[in-house]
Amino acid sequence: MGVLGLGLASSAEAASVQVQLHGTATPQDDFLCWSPVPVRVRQVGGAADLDVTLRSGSTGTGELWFQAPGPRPTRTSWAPVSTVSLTLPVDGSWVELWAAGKTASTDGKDTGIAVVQDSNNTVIAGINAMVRVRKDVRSLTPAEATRILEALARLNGTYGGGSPGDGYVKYAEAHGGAFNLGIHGGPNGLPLFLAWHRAFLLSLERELQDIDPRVALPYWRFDESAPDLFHEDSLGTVNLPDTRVQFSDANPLEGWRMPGSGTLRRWSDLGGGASVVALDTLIARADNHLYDAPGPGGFNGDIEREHHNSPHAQVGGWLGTGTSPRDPLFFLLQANVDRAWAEWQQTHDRFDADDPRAYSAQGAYPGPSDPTRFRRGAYAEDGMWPWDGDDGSGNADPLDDWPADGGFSFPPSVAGSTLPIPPTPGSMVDYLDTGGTGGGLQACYDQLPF
Amino acid sequence: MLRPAPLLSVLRVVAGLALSTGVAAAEGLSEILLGHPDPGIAAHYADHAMEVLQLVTQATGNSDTQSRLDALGALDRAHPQAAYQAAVQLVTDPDDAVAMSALVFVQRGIVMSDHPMSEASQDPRVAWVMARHLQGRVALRAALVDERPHIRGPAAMTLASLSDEESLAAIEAGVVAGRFAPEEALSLLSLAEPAMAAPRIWPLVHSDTLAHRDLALDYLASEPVARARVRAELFQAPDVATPLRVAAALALAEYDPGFSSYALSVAAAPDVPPALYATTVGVWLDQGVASDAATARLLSRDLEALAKDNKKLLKKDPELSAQLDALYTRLEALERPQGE
Repeated sequence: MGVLGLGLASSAEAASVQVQLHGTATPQDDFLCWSPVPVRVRQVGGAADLDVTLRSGSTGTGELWFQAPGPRPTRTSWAPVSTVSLTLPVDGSWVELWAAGKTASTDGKDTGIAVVQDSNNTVIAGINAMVRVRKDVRSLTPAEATRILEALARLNGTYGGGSPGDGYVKYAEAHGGAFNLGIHGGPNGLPLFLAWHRAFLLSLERELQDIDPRVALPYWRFDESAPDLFHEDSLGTVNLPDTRVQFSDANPLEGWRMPGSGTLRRWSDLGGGASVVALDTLIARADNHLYDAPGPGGFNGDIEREHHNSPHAQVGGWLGTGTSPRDPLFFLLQANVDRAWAEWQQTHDRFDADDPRAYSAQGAYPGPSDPTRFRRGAYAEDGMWPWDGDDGSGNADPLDDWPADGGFSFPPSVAGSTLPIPPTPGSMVDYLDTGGTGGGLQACYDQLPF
Repeated sequence: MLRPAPLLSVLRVVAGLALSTGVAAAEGLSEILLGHPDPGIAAHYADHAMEVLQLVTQATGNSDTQSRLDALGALDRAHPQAAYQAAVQLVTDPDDAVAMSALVFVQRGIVMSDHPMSEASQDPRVAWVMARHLQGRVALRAALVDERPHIRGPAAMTLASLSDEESLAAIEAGVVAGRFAPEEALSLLSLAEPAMAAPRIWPLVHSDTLAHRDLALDYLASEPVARARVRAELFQAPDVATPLRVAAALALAEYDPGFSSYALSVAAAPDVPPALYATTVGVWLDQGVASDAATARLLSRDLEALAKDNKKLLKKDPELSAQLDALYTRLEALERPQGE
């Protein structure tokens, strides 16, 4: 396929100008979301400096914008423009600038960067890219919806009638195992609920992207109506008295099952939405300006109890259990909770991982000298189970001991993200890299810009 | 910021109020005040003991519905642990609105927490959550015998999803007692882990109500842990009544991917009932597996012999006779080489 339909080779090297996203020549990493990522351009073998203009090309809905060469943008210094004029030195040195998604792609790499030679207004180089963001499931195109269902089924091994393998079920087992580590105790002062689940979503999403790089986890606005989600062509429907979740024959999820768990079951569809406290109300509460309040309250606990628990309880079946990720609907539900956290962060400017208002358990695990400590893995600088291989075996400290089984590696880092592996709670906070430190997850939500 | 709760003085206040108001909730409340392992939360209840106790008293007392709901709402908003403690007492409250509100609080409070206590975390906060979870289960179990279906139904759904063994037994018993219709009980039981649900659903395969029987067979055939039993104890069992074997054949054909591998061995058994033969071979053909001319010829010969041996029966049962005729026609068509 040509670059942006302009007849150029798909290689990052075209004509006498090279342009690279994330500082690499490979097209495999040409994905970005709202966070600015590095772009570099140079001319090769030229006879004089070359004046060019960079602009976004598009064959679909995706579009990019740019910021001129300078320090990595922060949320406050980010002032993107549609085109950037550059002079490419004759000595072939790179000119580095910044690019980010402006609008989301719908069909893979439907946008990209076009390098236009100013002297003759000709596109002389370019690369294709995808603005890959997490979207409201209701807004997915049919092709996008099919891709995510297919990737889930392939990860599980059940695509096309296959048998479930280890690819997906380990998430259900890890979620169950992590309960005792405190991932569901937000209302009772445990800090991990939002941070751990953000890593959990990202871990699965990266595995799905390894199957199909065009997918991003969609989210289910369970506080609103979403009747089409509970349809046999989507996440399935139940028709009591039969509690089996029904899928159409063409649905990639048809035949979804888990080892030892039999058939996917729910008590009810929730197309009309769950009965929950409105997100705006939760975000606006004075004591919820804090991640954790010193007592009941705090956003982490309130959203778990008053917003997140109800759809789990009302759908029931597999979704009502500690191993609720057995139901793939889990990830759409949890992505919405994560989106809510992101919205709260944006409202109250809570992106600084070193700020206890953004994440309460600061620092690293203090050891047994602190009688009121959380378990290791809950502190901002701790690696988290199941991705941290240090299970604490043989350690006399009972809170420095993780399940010996069920751990797995966090999927490799992707271009544009300097997420530590294993991830820490603190590394989950500035998911957009608003501070311009080079972190960020390269996972964004459609309605929540940089 | 966090300071130790003045426990002794709080206890005195609570005990005094309990004596003066006669409110039984004081015990649960003191547990919250004294027992919460998070220092911030413990301090919160120390600071708000009077307010919390008044609200719990209002919610659990005899005032009007709206006052009680307001109290529950105020607790939920500002003192969620106390709200939960009140709610577990109110799930079966005679006041319908209060009971329903409490039910939602408890459902919300225990969802997803089906982790066995044997694996209890040594983190005191997690252990506290687990203890509250068990308290919620007890409250919901009590609701299973509530006269109101809109109370016992949701309670049963939550507990069945959590595979709460005691509740599964109560649901089963509830069918006999008339609290749960068989269809509803089957639906509820089917939410639990198949290994726990299947033995409780199994008796329904002998139900005189064919709809119940078929629902049970659908469940059992669709769950791998129960499927082998349907195959061995129903479909392949010569002493089982033919209609039940036929129903088992249909369910297995629908859900068992391996059905075609053993179906014909049943059809080929001596003395196979014609109805079972017709159904088994019919669904086997529907699956389109290995329906070659040679196999079809063998089946046709079997069918001819079967018809001959059961001439009297078929004369009395024209529907079955027509079914066998239709099957014979299908087999004959398969015997003919393609294009003929």
